[in-house]
Amino acid sequence: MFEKILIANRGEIAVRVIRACRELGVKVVAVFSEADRDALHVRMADETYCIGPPQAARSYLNVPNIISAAEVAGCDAVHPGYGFLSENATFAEICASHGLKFIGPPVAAISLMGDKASAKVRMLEAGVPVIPGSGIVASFDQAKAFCREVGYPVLIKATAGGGGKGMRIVGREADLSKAITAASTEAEASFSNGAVYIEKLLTHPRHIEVQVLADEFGHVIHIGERDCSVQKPGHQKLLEEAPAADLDPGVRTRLCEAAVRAARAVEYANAGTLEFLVGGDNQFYFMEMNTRIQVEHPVTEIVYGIDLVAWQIRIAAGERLTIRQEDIQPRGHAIECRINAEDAEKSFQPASGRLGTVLMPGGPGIRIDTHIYSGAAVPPFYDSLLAKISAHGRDRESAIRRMQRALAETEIHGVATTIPIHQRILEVPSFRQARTHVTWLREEVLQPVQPAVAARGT
Amino acid sequence: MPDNNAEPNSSAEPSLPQFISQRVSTLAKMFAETPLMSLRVETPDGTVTLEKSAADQLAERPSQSARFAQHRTAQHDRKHRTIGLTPGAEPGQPYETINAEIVGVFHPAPDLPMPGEPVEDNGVLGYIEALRLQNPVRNAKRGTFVSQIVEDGQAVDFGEPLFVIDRTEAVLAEPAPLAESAEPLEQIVEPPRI
Repeated sequence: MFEKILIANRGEIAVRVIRACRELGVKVVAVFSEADRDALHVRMADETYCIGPPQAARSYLNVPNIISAAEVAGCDAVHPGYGFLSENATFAEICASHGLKFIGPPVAAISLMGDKASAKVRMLEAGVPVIPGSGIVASFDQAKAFCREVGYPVLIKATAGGGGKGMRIVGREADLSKAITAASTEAEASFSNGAVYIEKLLTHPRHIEVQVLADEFGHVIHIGERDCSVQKPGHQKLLEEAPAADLDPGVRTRLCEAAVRAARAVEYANAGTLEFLVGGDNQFYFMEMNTRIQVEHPVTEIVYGIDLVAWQIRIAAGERLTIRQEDIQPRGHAIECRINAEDAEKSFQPASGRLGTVLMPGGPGIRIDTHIYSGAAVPPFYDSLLAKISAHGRDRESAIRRMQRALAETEIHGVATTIPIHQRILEVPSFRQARTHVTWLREEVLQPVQPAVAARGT
Repeated sequence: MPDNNAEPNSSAEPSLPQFISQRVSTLAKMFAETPLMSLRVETPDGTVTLEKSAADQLAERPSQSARFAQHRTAQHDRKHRTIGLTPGAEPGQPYETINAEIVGVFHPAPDLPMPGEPVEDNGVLGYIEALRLQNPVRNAKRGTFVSQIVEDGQAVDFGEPLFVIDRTEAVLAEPAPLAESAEPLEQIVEPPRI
């Protein structure tokens, strides 16, 4: 096992990793920006280093200062958390060259899965279904032919894209060439790479992802699926569940098997997630692989009784994964609500400032992952996640009721939060009936009286 | 220390005595936590100047970082108290600190000036060893060397004060920096809203 781990992150995930380290008896080095001097992860760590000014580009993305802090402190490993440097293959390589174990997958797997085009090719080779795609658009004629073949609506995406940049939905052929030009221009501006491709757009698919865990000796298992269909406009997850409610057992088996095949195909090690879209016809398609721990990992941990972050560390330290696939059985149902400093009434506009009183819920079946406390600062420089409240129940309905009880207990003063929108979501009949899909929140909760949305072809 | 040389003024702003009784203690606390060595606040009917001697500054640091220091392993303990280079400071001197811009292990330059000796523009006062590279720590503008704050071989954070420099000479030579030093005051009187 490692002696000392540097956590190259902040917020609730830094706190989460510190907890895993404590339970494993590993010392923790926290790094922080000048805006996070009083942050909880800094209080909890054994050693701390200020690595730069508030802007992430000069602190949490400041590779030389992070590596130097790890060397000065005598660390033997680095945990990147999620976001920031977690899927940066160059950072993983630099860690290795400085004798620091990067707690994550091999560099080759990060690079391969980080490039959407190469990831799709590898998945097809491994027999994992991918959404029919055009390949990089070389001409309008080629694009037009592809779209006729798969049928409208289609989605134009940037090969280097992310976060909805360079994306366009096209509902009919007349709009195609204009949308391609616009997406390409946007991609060029955002990623210095104007290459775009076209995909078949599924109507009202669910976002279902599979957690995998692999050791460095080739033992790969899946730890079930999560349903992350409740998303803000812009494909940002807001509420996640495990397992996916009312999923056909045959589809579940095929999804999970495909995920294991996918992980094997890239010689994966450590924790990872394969994201799929599942259509109304139960056809599923690989979207992308996240080569890191995910925000919503607690619902899997709760339902399967497995500490994913501890396993990340143990696998990186060279331990063998002792869990067998047949040991993986879900117990009950778990729901996670992301409590963000955002106002759902104002297009989820993020808020920052100094918090007043903070009261987190507790009691049976409730888990809290947070870095905030009464009087803490919420700096404007980072993501707006304040806390994750997770509820466990013997079935979905009891998990929902427990979550409603927990949200009613929660008090966070000083900034707007997503608690009210979660309370609304939990009341909506179609949510209670598990009929959510990736645009459900926008269509049935945020703008329930505007059927005009359908005109955009979603 | 009130300095009543500004002309009185009949605005609705708090009077100087009110300002001193109501706000100076809070201001002083915030000031103590900054690496700044002197602070001037102008009110409509006078000016308040707060000053730290370098000795105060040295005594300040361990308590500030005590929370972190208690966790630190012995080999990386910050040993601010053991520095013997305390200057004989006169109140009113415009001291500045030179802070670490990268994380690493600090080493003073072999030809480091003695306290009281002048420091040159762009002169190298030390090095921060990071990723096997010696990164020079440079003095920005001329002044008089006052003290070295951290020990040879000590690990330093981003922003950690390394040296104290007396800028009296620079201030006398160019009257402009006084106006410049008024800018950070705004931020301290009104803490940044984050």
